[in-house]
Amino acid sequence: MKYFYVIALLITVGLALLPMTYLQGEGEDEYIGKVVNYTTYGATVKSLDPATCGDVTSAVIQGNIYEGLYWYHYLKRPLEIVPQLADGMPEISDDGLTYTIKIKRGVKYSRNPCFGKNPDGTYKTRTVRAADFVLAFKRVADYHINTGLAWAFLSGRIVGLDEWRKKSKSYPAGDFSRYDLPVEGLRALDDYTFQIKLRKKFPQMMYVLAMHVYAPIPREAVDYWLGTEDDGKGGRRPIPINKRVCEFRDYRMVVGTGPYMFKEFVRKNRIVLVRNPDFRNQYYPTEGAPGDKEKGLLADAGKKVPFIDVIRYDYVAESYSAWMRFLTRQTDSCGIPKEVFKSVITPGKKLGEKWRKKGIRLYTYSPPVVYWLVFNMEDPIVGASKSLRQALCLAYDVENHIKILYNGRGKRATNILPSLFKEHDLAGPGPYYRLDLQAARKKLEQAKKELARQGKLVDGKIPQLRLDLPGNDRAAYRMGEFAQQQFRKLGIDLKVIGNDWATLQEKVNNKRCQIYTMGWHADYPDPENFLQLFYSPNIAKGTNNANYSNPEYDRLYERARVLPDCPERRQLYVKMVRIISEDCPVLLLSEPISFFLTYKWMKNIKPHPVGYGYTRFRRIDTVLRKKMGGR
Amino acid sequence: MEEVSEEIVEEQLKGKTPKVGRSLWADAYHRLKRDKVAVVCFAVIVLYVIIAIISSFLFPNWAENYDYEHANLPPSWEHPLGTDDFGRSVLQETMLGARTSLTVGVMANIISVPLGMLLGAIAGYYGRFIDDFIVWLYTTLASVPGIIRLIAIKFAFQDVVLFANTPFEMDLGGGMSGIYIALGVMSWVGTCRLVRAEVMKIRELDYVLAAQAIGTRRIVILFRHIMPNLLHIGIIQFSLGMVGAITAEVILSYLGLGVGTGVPSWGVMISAARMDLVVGRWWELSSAVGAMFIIILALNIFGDRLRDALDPRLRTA
Repeated sequence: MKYFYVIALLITVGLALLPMTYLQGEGEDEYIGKVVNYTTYGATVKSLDPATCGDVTSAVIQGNIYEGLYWYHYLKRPLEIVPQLADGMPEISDDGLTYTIKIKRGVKYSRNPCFGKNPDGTYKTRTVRAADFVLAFKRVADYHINTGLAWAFLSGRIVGLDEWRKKSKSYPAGDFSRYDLPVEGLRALDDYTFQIKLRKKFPQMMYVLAMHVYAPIPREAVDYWLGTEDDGKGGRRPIPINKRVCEFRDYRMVVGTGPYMFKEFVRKNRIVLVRNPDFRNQYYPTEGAPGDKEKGLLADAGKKVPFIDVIRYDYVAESYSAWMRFLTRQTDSCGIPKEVFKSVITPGKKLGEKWRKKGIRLYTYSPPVVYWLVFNMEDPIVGASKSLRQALCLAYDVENHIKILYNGRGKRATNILPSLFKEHDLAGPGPYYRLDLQAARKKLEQAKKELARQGKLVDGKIPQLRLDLPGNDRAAYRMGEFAQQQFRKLGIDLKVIGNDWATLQEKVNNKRCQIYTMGWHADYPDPENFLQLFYSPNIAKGTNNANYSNPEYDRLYERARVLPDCPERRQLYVKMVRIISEDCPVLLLSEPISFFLTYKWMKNIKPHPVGYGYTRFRRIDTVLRKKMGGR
Repeated sequence: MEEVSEEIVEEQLKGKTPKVGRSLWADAYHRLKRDKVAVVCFAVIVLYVIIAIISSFLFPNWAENYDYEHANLPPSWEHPLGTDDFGRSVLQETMLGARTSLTVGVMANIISVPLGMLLGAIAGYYGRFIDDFIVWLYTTLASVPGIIRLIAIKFAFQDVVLFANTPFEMDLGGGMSGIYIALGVMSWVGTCRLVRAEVMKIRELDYVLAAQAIGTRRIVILFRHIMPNLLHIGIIQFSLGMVGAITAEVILSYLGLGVGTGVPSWGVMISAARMDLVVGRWWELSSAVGAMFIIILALNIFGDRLRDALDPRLRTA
């Protein structure tokens, strides 16, 4: 009893001091002596599997881990495709149908339990083989994996692949023996030669090969992670076929060839990537675009990459919280929240002097993106009246949309192609993609006549329209409210419906939306990537989600898609753009301009409009960072 | 010895002849009239009601009065409470927000209070398995947190439109009707509990036993003889329920589940302006919070005083 009070006091003091043990910072010790890039992300990472990657956040993370056969030169503009895992450019047959690609020798995957253990307890690795690319393409075509866009680019292109997909449907989802079925158009001629045979010419094939979604996958990863499970005794036991999943959803399953590998992945919390010790020798480019040398972008030419050892992404949902972290120098780069934009950026779109003095640098670039409102062309109201769609396009005040909702971070889109493409200017602005309320009212009268003939007016009025938004947050509703104001100028009521992303996707796929917000980010630098969105056979593939169908347009597209870059193809592209501008299956909004900030200790920053995985070229002056009060 | 009210004692001390036999309502009215705080609160409530009514006529086109060139202006003579993101007057928005809040408050209670009274009276009077069922029902409902129940019911009826394309169209997903129906069908539990307990007590009183003895039908006894004696509970619950309904509307609107876009609401204002404070734009947030604070305070105090006046046994210290 005599020690009771002493023990009680010690416990009380101990409990009181316990929280202080967290003050030293979580896991910072393990970063000592390493170059760490601190950054934040605000959207959910939807995919860890290259085959299912369809959103920018996932692509940013995956770009550091997975690599494709080709990619884009980091510095050169216009964009230039260069080999990544391929050993040189492909050998293309005279008829343009067979691509024979040599694979770099000695490229290793990151170490992973799926390859087994060394006697010293470390995990094994192995080199990349051509068969891994065959498997990657088969997984993209697999009926049981929801590969969306990645499949859309291959569908109908490769000899035997569509037939393989049909066969895969007959297998149970967990039966991976389907990957042993051959595909005539995908062959590993030897360990280092991969061959693709196309059904017909596909000039954009090189761009497709430059996407990381077709990154090699070792069969061991599929069999080990998806086919077996921990037996609780330190071994593995087979998972019954009916209980297997087909997609890599756990960070431990991720096996890539890139410069980084996962160390931690806590959903909606943090992601830590560490240097892949088995990454091949890769060097910083020695050539760039004009002006790059003067900007210091070639200072590290020829040096081995990556320069950064650890990339730490912290999940911060609120943009203002991310901003505060940046201002307190806890992160190296940041976007600019809407609320503070005016105080940071001058009316001339430059960084304010006050911020420059803090050592902050501004980078702006125009990604090849167009945002729009999509009209469901199968809808009995908006799909039935071209004049109604034209009237709504004419009435929508896009300039104020950009100014009010995005702080002026963008410019009006005037046709469906981003202005970075030559064909954008050749096609010229669409006649209805401008603000003209008088013309809109005239068009509305025509629309009423069109709809009256079909008996679709309610009490002589156009019935209430519906706009589905990809969010339930205030930003989404502000956009909806703005759209309501625009539609009301024509006396049209608009009901705004907030959705989470999955619900909106489901509604779009089931053609249940009437009007919805969407946009398109170029997957490759060819207008065909935008034009295929309106090709009617792509309705079934899910990329033509306006459900637009026009035989004349389809005919032009089918002619253009087999042509190489030539004046004839350009003319066909222009005609197609003009057809869309006339039919208005989309109400064009903006081409965004991205603004992001870094501290001056970040080196070699050059935003890339299309590709991912360029963090390997970035360098951090850690001495300067420490001196300036950073981490 | 019969107990008399303080007021009667006071009047006797002043040498006046007290009015005996004053009804419950007259007695409550006199009590409230003498309570200055209650009078002030009542005046505030009346003022809000007047604002709610006239603002619809004064600013019928507020939603369309956007002026993008004058967005986010601070308070000035032209716009005493500044402007919002779309350049609309925050003062007008705040006044119209009162209409939304009071409409939701009144409509929700018009549903919940009679429902609670009816179910409570039936449970309390008939007892046995009817009572068991109703008690099970409200216990189950009450076991789920209120806001979660509301969110669930809002989601459940997201795509439901009643009486579509008629003047009585009710959009349960995006419209205001969805909120007050959700609030109404979910907020009757408190009233039901109180009424049930009161009816259990009343049903044993002599006048009820007498009615039973002369063969009056039970349903007649319940509705003719018992229910009128529960009216004060309904009124008290109505005034206190207003507070809950207004708060719930603001929370739902803040979460994006409340009124549709373009409908002025304090919750939407708070949600829209929550990040504005960090850049010094205080007017929209302050207006909504201030307006809400005043009406909730007034309703709370008045509700308390009303309860004291109508049911002296519950009077607070």
